[in-house]
Amino acid sequence: MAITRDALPELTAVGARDDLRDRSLGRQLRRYGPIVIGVLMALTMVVVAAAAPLLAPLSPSAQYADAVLKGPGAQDRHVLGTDEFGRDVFSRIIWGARISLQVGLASVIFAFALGVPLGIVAGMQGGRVETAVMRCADMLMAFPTLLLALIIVTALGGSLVNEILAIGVALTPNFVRLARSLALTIREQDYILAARALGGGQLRIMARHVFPNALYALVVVATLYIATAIRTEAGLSFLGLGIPPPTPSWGNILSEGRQYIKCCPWITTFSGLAIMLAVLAFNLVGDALRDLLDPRLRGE
Amino acid sequence: MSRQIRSRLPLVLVAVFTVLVALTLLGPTDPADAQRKKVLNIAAKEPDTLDPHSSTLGQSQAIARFMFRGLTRFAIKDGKVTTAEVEPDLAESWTLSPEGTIWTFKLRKGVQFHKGFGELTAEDVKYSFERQINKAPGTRYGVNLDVIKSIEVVDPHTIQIALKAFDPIFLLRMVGYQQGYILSKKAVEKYGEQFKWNPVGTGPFYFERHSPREKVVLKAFDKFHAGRPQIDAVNYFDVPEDATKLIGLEKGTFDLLYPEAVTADFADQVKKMGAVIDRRGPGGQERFYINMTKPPFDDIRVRKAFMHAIDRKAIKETMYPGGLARLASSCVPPGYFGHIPMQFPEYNPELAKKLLAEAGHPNGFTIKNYFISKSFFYPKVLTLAQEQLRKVGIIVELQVVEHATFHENIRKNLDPFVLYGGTRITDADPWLSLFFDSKEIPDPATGNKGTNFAHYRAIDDLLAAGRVERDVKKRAAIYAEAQKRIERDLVCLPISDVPGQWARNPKRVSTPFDPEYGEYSLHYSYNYPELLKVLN
Repeated sequence: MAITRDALPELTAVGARDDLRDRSLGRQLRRYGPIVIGVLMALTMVVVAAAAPLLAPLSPSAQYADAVLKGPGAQDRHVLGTDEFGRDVFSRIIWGARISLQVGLASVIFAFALGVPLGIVAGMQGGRVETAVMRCADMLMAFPTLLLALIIVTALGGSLVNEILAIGVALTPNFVRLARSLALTIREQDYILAARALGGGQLRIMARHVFPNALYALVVVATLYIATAIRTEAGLSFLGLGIPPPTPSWGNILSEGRQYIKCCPWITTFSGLAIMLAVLAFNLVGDALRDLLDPRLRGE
Repeated sequence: MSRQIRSRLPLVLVAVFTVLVALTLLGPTDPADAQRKKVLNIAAKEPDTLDPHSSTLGQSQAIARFMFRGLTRFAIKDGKVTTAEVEPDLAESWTLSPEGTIWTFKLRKGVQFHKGFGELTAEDVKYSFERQINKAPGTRYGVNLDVIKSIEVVDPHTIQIALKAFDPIFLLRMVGYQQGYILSKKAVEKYGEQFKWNPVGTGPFYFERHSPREKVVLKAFDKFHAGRPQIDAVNYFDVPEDATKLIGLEKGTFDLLYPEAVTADFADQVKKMGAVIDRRGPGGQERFYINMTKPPFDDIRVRKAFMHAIDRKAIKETMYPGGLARLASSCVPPGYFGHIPMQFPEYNPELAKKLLAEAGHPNGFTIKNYFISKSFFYPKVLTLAQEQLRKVGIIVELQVVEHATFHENIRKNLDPFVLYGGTRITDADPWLSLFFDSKEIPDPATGNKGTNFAHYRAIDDLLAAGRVERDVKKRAAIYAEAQKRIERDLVCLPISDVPGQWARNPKRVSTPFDPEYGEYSLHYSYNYPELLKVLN
């Protein structure tokens, strides 16, 4: 997984030779298809989330008393039907993308910002510092992500910021562990020795040499964790511990719709589909990034 | 020899197998057939306590009636259970002194408490009322017994209750419901705090066990004074979701459902699966109380704006379209003695905005951390109201919490307006006393857990006058005046009058009463669980 910046030019050269050898469309598609699809899907989500006020045909909280629990196409204005309060499911899903994306990105950034420095310090310093950091991470790792997030949200109360904090904290140990293992590999490299010989301080080495060389692997994993964060957010909202109503999030649309699953399956189907597609998008991007950046997989 | 045996072994095995198969086929298909137990499976929510004097939660109220009885009970007349007349239950007769303040009850002899706690005596009756009057920890209905001055045991089967003044509805207060339930003194003293999970009463079923978050199991009480019930056991399952309850009803796992809310969709599904909904009045009222001491609602213009902002009809129709409920017409529901129709500010968001501007809130205001229960109708009605209030600039930021937490928080006055539902004895006095008597203003400082969420003080004199008035017409006039004052002060906005409704599989369970309002019932349950029958 770990690669070094110094090794990259050579790898790129190998990749280029591969491309020259196999220019067949099938192979190109196999190689770049998932990333293109994933990136397109993720981009769509970002655009939808950013332009929610423009894209949503109706207000997500407006209640239409004449269209309670009506199917897709009701009253010529509800594309995906309405929920128990006569609210437009399509508009709610569009607005819900905002919450999912905000939580997904912000919690991963939080976990990254907290976990990576800790992991690198642990890996480079070793000794007591490493033991302390890693045992704390182990303690957090003992809880499944959703459970840990659930405990934190229950303690803090449901709100956007608390949800981001909760999921961020729950994801942090993953970044700590990865950053430490990368740091352990990188610190043995010759260029670190060289940097040290030139008189580079520990902090400088960590910031200028270890971190940039660990970045690619960390970014790949971060992308995958966005999917986890979106799923966890949906889980929390589904359990009623996420964003308080009436703010729509995919999880609470799903949760509110589940008691009407027999008569009005469109509420759960479309919100479930949104969660599935979003998770799929980030997983595809993450997987494809890994394939592209992992030297072991590149040559295949 | 051994070869002989070996050669015959297959034959012997076949013979043994044949005999076994024959026995299986000829024998009873179910060994329990001969003595199949009649088990009633109810899907509700888990009760928070089984002490009938302690909880205001519906599911706890509903199960209490299976285990406890009172001195009197609602009379059954023309195949219907009334809520205005009573007949003897644990008391076999009673007399009232000429001046109207001393009631003497003769107790039925030979009434047994569950689990060998002995015969019911006057001591138990005295104890059951006094623990509430003395506000034993957790008890909630003491205010309904405030009329009592003293209780005297004349002999083991005679009890004299002296009142502070004449009380026109005293016999209604003695009905086996909320404050009227009689408990075993010995059992309460033995179990103390733990009585709530070791309930001992004289009802048709006794408590057997409680598996937390799963079920409460009740068994038929052989010595029930009106005869052993037909049902052998009752499983009261903890099923929080209505959708799950419906699936269970369809599959035959559950026979009776106590739903969170009977919506149009719920009613449709019940009908489609061939089940019925037992509708019982007067039912519960869903209403808002506005705390008139909490800014900005201490300004009557803001309360008026609140009422103009709420579209009661839209809420009622979204929650309970058509005949599933009625638009509420008064702060004392119809069906209660003393009810008169009241007028409420009509839906008019523009006027609401104008009033808010006049009161110094041209841009509205935000209510942070508004607590609402995640159960029953609460989150739904509040979501509807929240959007209507938002349109006039009143932003309500919700915290959706467990039902018990909600009950706790509203008694700490954390919500400036309180959505509340439920039933009480069907007379204006207990209803108004619980929700508008100044003695019932909740106060965390003194531990008062009353339900006067409006912090209203303007009808204390009328309540006092009504409690001693013997003339029926004059009593009615007193309560009419009380409702007019409430109307004037804009502290209560009723939304829907919803009948008590349970879904029932008629192929499994029968009740002697007609499903449509055949049985008047308080607090959602069947008044006479011993009359329910399991059919197969």
